[in-house]
Amino acid sequence: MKSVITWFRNNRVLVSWLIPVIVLVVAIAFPYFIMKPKFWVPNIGIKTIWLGISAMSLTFLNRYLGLLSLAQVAVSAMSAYGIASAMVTFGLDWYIAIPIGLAVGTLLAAIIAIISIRTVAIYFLMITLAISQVIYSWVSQEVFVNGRRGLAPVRRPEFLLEMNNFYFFALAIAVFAYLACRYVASTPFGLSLEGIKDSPDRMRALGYSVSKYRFWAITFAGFIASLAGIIMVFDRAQADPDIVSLNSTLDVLIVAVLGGVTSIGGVFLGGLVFTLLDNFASDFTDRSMTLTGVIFVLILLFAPKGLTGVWEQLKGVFKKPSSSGAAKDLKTIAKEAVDTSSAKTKGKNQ
Amino acid sequence: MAISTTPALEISEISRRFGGLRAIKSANASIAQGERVSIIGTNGAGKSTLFNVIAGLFPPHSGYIKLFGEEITHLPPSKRARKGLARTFQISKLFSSLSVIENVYIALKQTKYAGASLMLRKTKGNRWDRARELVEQVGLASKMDTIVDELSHGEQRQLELAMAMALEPKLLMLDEPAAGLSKAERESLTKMLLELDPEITLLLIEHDMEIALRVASRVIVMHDGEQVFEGTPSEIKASQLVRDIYLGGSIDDD
Ligand SMILES: Nc1ncnc2c1ncn2[C@@H]1O[C@H](COP(=O)(O)OP(=O)(O)O)[C@@H](O)[C@H]1O
Ligand SMILES: [Mg+2]
Repeated sequence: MKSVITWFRNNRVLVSWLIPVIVLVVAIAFPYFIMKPKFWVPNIGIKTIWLGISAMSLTFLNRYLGLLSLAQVAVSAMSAYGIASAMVTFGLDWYIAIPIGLAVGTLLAAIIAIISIRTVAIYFLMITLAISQVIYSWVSQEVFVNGRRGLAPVRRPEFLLEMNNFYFFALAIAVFAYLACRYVASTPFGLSLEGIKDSPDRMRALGYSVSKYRFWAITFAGFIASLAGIIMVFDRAQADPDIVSLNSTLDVLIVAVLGGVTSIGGVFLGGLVFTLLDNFASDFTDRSMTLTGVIFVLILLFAPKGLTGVWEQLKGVFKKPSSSGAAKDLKTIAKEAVDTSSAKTKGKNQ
Repeated sequence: MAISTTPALEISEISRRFGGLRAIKSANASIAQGERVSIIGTNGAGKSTLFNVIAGLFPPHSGYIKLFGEEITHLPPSKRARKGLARTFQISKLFSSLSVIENVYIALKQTKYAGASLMLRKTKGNRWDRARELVEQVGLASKMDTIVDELSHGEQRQLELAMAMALEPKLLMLDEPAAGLSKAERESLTKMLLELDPEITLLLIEHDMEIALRVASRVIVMHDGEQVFEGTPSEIKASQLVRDIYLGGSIDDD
């Protein structure tokens, strides 16, 4: 047991890839070992993936910029709308429609970035929420995107008609999104983002144009969110205002929180739990939304780092305190001792 | 290389209020290239505020600031930094969740056409090596990969210094670098300041008189938002006014 733990600690890089690879293997095997693939693959598998990718873009911004964006769903949805109108309104092929969708979503993210660039914390959250509400009411009324009824049907290309093929297509996009986020995080650009999150004043004093970095990070996250739109639109076979509604925004927020808003990969665990609740909670209770809400609140209260955070907490239990940690404790103890004794002497002198 | 006669820093009629409080009433100074100047004064005198105005954290309410002859009064802090102005903060503003070397790496002077290299892996290349060198120079070699949160106060101040140096500054402004340092750490700080590249202009706020007077060739005394005295270290030691401000006592020249 002990040697296993030591091995884990000495091979951090390997370990950081171990869990993603295991998850990927399970995800690849998933359609083959479940009892009712016709139900599970689309309702749990594919939905988990697009909810997860949309939530991943939210998590990326939170983890690396310290900003909580509620516009990521709107970005995914606009990517979906871009694809839908290219295919339904203009009769274009899927391979032209997809780049158009990605461009529309990413461009929207860039515009959102420009609008919100100087706001932080709760103001950023409010402004992104407001933007997504504006988009919702716009698509609901706009004749070009067929108002409330939306654009339909968005037919899957021939090679994706088979449900398993579509599932693996979605999985490939998920892997791409995950690798893209991890790669960006490992670059000097990613490091600078963390610097901005920790201390924007310091970054300015070091010559960084903080707004420029924020702009590119929000735009990049928008590209990731747009990837979710591809799967979303082919899964639903249409683009309608529901996908931009407040409910959809909250769904993705719940997924991100369940997954732990700091863990890029955790979003898929969050997505899985969410879709399971969504599909099965009604078997136990007729208030399934209430149950989801209660679980959400419990997670916030007891595992602020989400379900992946629970895993970290468990790891912490097994980990023996690191040497520097121990030194710090000793130092704190010594300092407290000095403080109390000096307080005593002061008391005597008076 | 010709040392030009343009001052490194020129401030004129600078004032700054916070609500009704006049933190700086009217500051004037001209600091030559390569000069070493200390700013001393009691708490609340306006020293850090003056630094913040010079570095561009907030604008002055009047006056102008010139850096190497170029007016920078309304430039954002990031542009001033790229013109060679580096500063440390009195209250550390380090990147607390990053490692020591990552902090210095971020601080390295930005090259003009960095665009593409921002997307390459960071642990490869000259910049990473340069960061390693700087960490070694301030004596933190053994803490290279330690997360900043786990550093002692003194180590954090040393890291602050490494980060300011990483900018390859022409004007270096340090806000109480010795605060909270042990005797030995103060000693090595003083040594580092004395060995600074002679072309670097140094502006130093310091409460430790010994360091402030030893490092500088000129000392500015501030009190209640005003410059009340200016002179060489020996003139400072001899000044009755300075003694009065410090309630006698603390300026002892052993
Ligand atoms: N950001 C701020 N907002 C309001 N008041 C401030 C601010 N910064 C400094 N002050 C006030 O300005 C005065 C000068 O402060 P400061 O420049 O920090 O003094 P020093 O560094 O000389 O100790 C103090 O009275 C302080 O309370
Ligand atoms: Mg101060």
